[in-house]
Amino acid sequence: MSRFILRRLLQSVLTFFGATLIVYALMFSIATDPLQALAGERPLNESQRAQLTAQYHLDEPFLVQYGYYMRGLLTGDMGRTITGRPITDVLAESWPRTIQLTLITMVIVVVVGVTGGVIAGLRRGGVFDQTSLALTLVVIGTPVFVLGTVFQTVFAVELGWFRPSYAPELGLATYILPAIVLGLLSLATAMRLTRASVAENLRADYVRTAAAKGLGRGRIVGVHVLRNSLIPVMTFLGTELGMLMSGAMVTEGIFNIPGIGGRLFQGIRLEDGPLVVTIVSLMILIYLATNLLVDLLYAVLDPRIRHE
Amino acid sequence: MLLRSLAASCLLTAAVLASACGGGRSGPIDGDALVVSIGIGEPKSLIPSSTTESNGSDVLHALFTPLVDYDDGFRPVELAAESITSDDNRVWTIRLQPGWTFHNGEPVTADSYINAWNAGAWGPNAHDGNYFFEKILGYDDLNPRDARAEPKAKKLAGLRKVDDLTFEVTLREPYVNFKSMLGYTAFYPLPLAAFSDVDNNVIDPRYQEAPIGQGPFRMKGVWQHDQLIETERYDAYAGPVKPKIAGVAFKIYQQQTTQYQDLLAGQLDIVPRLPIENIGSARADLGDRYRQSPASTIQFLSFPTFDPRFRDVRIRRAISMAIDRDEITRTLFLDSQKPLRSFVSPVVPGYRENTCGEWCEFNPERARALFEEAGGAPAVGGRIEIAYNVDGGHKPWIDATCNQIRANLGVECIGNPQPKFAELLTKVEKKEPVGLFRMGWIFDYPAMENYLGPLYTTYGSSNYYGYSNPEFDRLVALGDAAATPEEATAYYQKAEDILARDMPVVPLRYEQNNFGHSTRVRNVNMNLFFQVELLDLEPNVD
Repeated sequence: MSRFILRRLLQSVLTFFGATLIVYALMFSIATDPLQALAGERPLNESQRAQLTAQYHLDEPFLVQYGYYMRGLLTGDMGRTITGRPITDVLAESWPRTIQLTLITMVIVVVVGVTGGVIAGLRRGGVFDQTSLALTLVVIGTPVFVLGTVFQTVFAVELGWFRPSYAPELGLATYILPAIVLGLLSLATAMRLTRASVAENLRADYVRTAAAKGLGRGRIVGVHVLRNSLIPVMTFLGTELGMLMSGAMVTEGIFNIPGIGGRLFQGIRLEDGPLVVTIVSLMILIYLATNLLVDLLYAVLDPRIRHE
Repeated sequence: MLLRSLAASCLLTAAVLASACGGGRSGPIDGDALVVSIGIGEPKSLIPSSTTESNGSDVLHALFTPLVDYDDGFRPVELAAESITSDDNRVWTIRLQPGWTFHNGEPVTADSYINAWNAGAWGPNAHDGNYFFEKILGYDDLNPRDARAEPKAKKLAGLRKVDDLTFEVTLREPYVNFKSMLGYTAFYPLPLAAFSDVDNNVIDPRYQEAPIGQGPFRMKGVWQHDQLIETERYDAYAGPVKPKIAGVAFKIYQQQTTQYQDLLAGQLDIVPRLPIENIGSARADLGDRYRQSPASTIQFLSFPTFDPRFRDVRIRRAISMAIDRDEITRTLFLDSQKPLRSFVSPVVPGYRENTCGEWCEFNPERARALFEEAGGAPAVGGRIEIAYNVDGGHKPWIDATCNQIRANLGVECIGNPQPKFAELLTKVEKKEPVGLFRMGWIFDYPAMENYLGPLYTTYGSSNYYGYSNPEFDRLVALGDAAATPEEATAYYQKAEDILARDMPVVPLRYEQNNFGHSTRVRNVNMNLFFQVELLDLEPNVD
């Protein structure tokens, strides 16, 4: 087990360096003129252009720029954004908000999605199953920015149940509406997946055996069926956590949550290489970590799976 | 559970107070306690000499008061200054009003201005407003061509302190509009507390997290990045008009459409820049709380002079006459912008309506005849292209313009999308045949020269299309060096007449401030710099 974890961690280090190099190269190749992008349509004054070019090493070749970035990163200095703020500050402010949003979303997805899926799976063809099927199809087919704007208009502006935008004074409650919007798509998928899995396992041999042994239905479903049905759902949720973090960009924009998505969007727009690479690298790390966690959880759920 | 109780309490609030859900909105409105919230985007900087975009300048307008304001004819009048005078338009004497203090109690003196301007002009600081100081004597010594070289001087030779409240500014050359320039953010003073090393022009990086100014409002806490900037009334404010509200909270948004949702939900008082998506519904939602006022931005299409297809002035005039400006502003922009038929915006002294004359009137028959006379479609290589940046929402009106050109001139016309304006400029600089390209211009100060100089003179900083007419250059230079503003205007107007003849660009529209406000405030106005006039704001008591 520990050798498995060690090997995966070593792989993560390699993945991390490879990913930063590729993302940095991509940012470098799309950047035409970050300083002009920053100035918008206003002409950039000669003196200012010369100074900023020197400060941000913009006239150096790609590998030299990457070298500066890596040297800074390894010595704990992530550098400054092109607007002059330390990247460390930007991340320290915005990451917690995105993480809070993602975790609340995850809770909603797991609780509503898995419960709904189990109910639908147990009573296939019933009213709940049919309704949820129709609803999930609608949700899966609707782009998130449409959902976001509609929910914002209906539940915040018209009905007044929530605030249309981020309000830190409300605490975690401010994330509820955005989390629902962000989680709806994953929720729909999780629900379909759980339903299919439960329905299939209900017909498995071991369920018949358990029933023949005289076990109660609660125990059959709660222990035997659920545990086996959760393996594919776990895989999905594990990869989904990373997806939610990067997918939060749109939702954060609509609800004005000052999280990592907004910073990433701004970084891309301003061709801010170091900022984008740092955020993307951190996302990759989180993705790697959740995947490792999912793999370890497999072993817990299914004793037949062993990591050597 | 949390959700249900939250929803229930909100419904209750809504029922009892007929206001939307949320804290801080209940109770009677007390003028002295009213904090007006204004929606902005994240400012790039809050150092005056490095703030040239509207978000930062909105905030600084609360914290600082400029030397001059402008009258109804857009002419400068003294505000924080006692007098601004010059005999030759080269050496200007600025006398400050006594009794002004910064929010930390430090008195405002001539040094406050001299230090701030030196720091703004100091090349290694790389401030966005650096170019405002170009006209002051000694600017070159602070801005070496090679950025890695040490500048020759630390202080502008053209700034001289006379006494505590008086200083002299010497320009490189006489410039009649210098007084008009002084209303801009770049010319605000700085307290000593802003500097970590005033002799070397080093501004403390922490200063902009809570800027200290001499204006009607002072910072309450620090800049909460991407969230909020709070200010409160400064009781020792020395200006002639005092604030009628307790403070201003600038709420920072990532998207303008969210500001509008917050305004409708009662969570925001003023949306200073209503996006086009919301203007259609704003008239119905807000009624007379949707407002407009003229702004300085003009939009036009320019002809690259390096492109032989547009060398014939008849082609340029035909394209201009084939465009129905009224139709586009009415249907696409819902009157949020107005048709422009001159080469400067209406908010400068000396503006005349329709200087472009017949060449900007919509006249499809004449346009077609002129186009055919100049060679027709083959003369422009079979089709006309209009280049634009896709990140600015320009596609709809570019397409509409192309449709009009196609219908009225009988030549294929297509938009040429570019990812960003920076990329468009790079192509134009390499003289690639992108076709016509769109441009916009926002003035820095209300003077005709601020359009004519940068946009149309041979070495103008934004003359990307390469227009050059020695007679035009001469007239603008004569205007700059004129003895009085009236004399200058006469020269500038003569210069503008040349533009109407040469048609280097097609004027299309001038923009408006489109803004909306809540029922809690009244007397909401916006000035020429896209700023909310904070001293006008009053609580709506009825």
